[in-house]
Amino acid sequence: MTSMRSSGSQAADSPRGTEDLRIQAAIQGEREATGALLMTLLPRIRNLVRYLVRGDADVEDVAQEALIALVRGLPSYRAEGRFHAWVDRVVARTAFTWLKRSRGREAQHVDAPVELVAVPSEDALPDEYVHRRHMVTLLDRLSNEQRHALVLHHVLELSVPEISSELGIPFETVRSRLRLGRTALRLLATAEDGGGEARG
Amino acid sequence: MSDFREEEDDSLNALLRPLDEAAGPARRITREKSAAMVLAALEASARAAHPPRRPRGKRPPVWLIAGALLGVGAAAAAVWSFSRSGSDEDAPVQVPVAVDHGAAGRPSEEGVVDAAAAMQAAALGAAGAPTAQEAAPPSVVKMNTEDAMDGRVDSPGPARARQQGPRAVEDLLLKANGLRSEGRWKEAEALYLRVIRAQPSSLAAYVARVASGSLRLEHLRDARGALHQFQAALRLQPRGVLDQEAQHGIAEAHRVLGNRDAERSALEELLANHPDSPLGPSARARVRELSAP
Repeated sequence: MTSMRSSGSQAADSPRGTEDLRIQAAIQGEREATGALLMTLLPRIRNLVRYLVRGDADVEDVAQEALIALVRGLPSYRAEGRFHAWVDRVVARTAFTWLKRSRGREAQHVDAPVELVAVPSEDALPDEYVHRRHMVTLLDRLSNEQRHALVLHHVLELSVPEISSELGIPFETVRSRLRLGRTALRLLATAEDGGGEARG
Repeated sequence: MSDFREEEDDSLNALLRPLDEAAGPARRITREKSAAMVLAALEASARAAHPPRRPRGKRPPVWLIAGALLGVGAAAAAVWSFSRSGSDEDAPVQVPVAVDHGAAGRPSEEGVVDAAAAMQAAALGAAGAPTAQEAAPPSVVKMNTEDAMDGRVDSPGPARARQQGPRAVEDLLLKANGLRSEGRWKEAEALYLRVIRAQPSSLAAYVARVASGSLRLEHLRDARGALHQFQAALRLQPRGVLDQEAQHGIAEAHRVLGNRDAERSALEELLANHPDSPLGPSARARVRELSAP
C-alpha cells in the first residue's frame, strides 16, 4: 500500500524546526511533547474526520479513536514521508474502520439538521467556516463511496493510483466514483445556489 | 499538482479545498475539550502499554468463585439485617457542611458556598443510583477555600476519589466539560475539584485547574479562587498545552482584583512566552493602557 504523498497546503507551511523536534520527542515517548503535538494536530484530525463521516454526531468519537491510533502508531513512524501525510493516513484508516463497524447506524444522521452559523474564530474567516460547513452538508448527501473518493482526491490531494491502493479498489472504479461524485456535488451546489437565490 | 490531478478537477477546487488546521468543516470545540480528548488518548495508550498484571497460577474454577460470592453475600445480608433491627437509634447525628473562607479568601459568598456544596454532592456520587451515603446527611466538614480548591477536604469521598483510576478521572473530566457546556457551572466546578483531588499531579488535574479557574473567573465571581487555580496549573506544568490560557487567566484575575501591576506583569509574561498568541493583540493593548500615565 502506498503512502499518502501530500496532504494540504497548510501543512507545508508549518515551521519544520520546532515541529520536527516535537515529533521526535513524541516518537521517543515523551508524554508532554506527545500531548502538545496532538493538540496541534487535533483541528486537522477533526476536520478530516468530518469530511469522511456523515453528520457531526460521531466526529468526536472517531477523532478520539484516531488520536489513540496515532499515539500507538507514533513509534512506528519512520520519517520516510511527510509527517502530516502519515497522520492523515492513520486518521482516514481509523475513520474507514469505524464506518465499517457502525454500518447502518451511521446513516441515521443523514437528515440531522445542520448548523450553519458562523463562529468567530482566530484561524479562519467566518465566511470560510460557513463555506466549509455548507460543502460538507452537500457531501453528506453523496454515497460514501463517491464521498471518500472526492475527499481523498480533492482534500488530501491523492492521485487516482494512490486512492486505488489506499481503498483497495481498481483504478477505473476510483475514476468512475470521482466522475459521478463530481457531477453529483456540482448538481447539489447549483441547486442550493438556485434555491438560495430563489428564496432571496 | 498536475501529475496527479484528474481532468475536471479545477471546477471542484473552489468547492473542496485541501485539508488544513483552520476552522471547519468540523464544529469548533473549546481548548479544554480538546485537551480532554488528548488526555484520554494518552491515558488509553498508557493503559495499553502497561496492562494490569494478572496473578500467576491457575485460576480457581468459575463455580467456586460464584459459590464463594453467594456465601459472602448471604452472610453480609444476614449481618446487615441483624444490625438494622437494633441499631438505628445509635446512628451518629450528622449536620451539613460548614464553609470557612479563611483569612486569605474573600470570594463571593454565593459562589463558593454553593460550589462547596455542589462539590460535596459530587463527592457523594454525581451520577448513577443513589448510594447509602447520599441517603444519609453528610458528616461535619470544616474547610477553607484554598483547601477546597486543592481538594484537601475531609469530605466523605476523598479516599474513594484517590483510588479512582485514570479511566474514572477521564470520565469525570468529560462529564465536567459536559456540565459546563450546559451552563451548569457549579456542578461542573464540583467535578473539576473532584478530578484535582483524585489525581493532583496528573494531566487531568492540570486541565481541571485551568477549567476551574475559567469557571470561577467568568461565572462564579471568584477571581481570587481563579487566580489560585491558574497559578497552581502553571506550577504543575509550566509549559503545558494550556499555558496560554492559564497565563491570560492570571492576568484577568488580577484585573478583576484591581492589581494593576500584577496584571501588567502577567500580560508581559504571556507576551514574552507566546509572542504569536491569538491573545497577543488584546494583551498588548491592555499593557499599553496599564503603562499609560
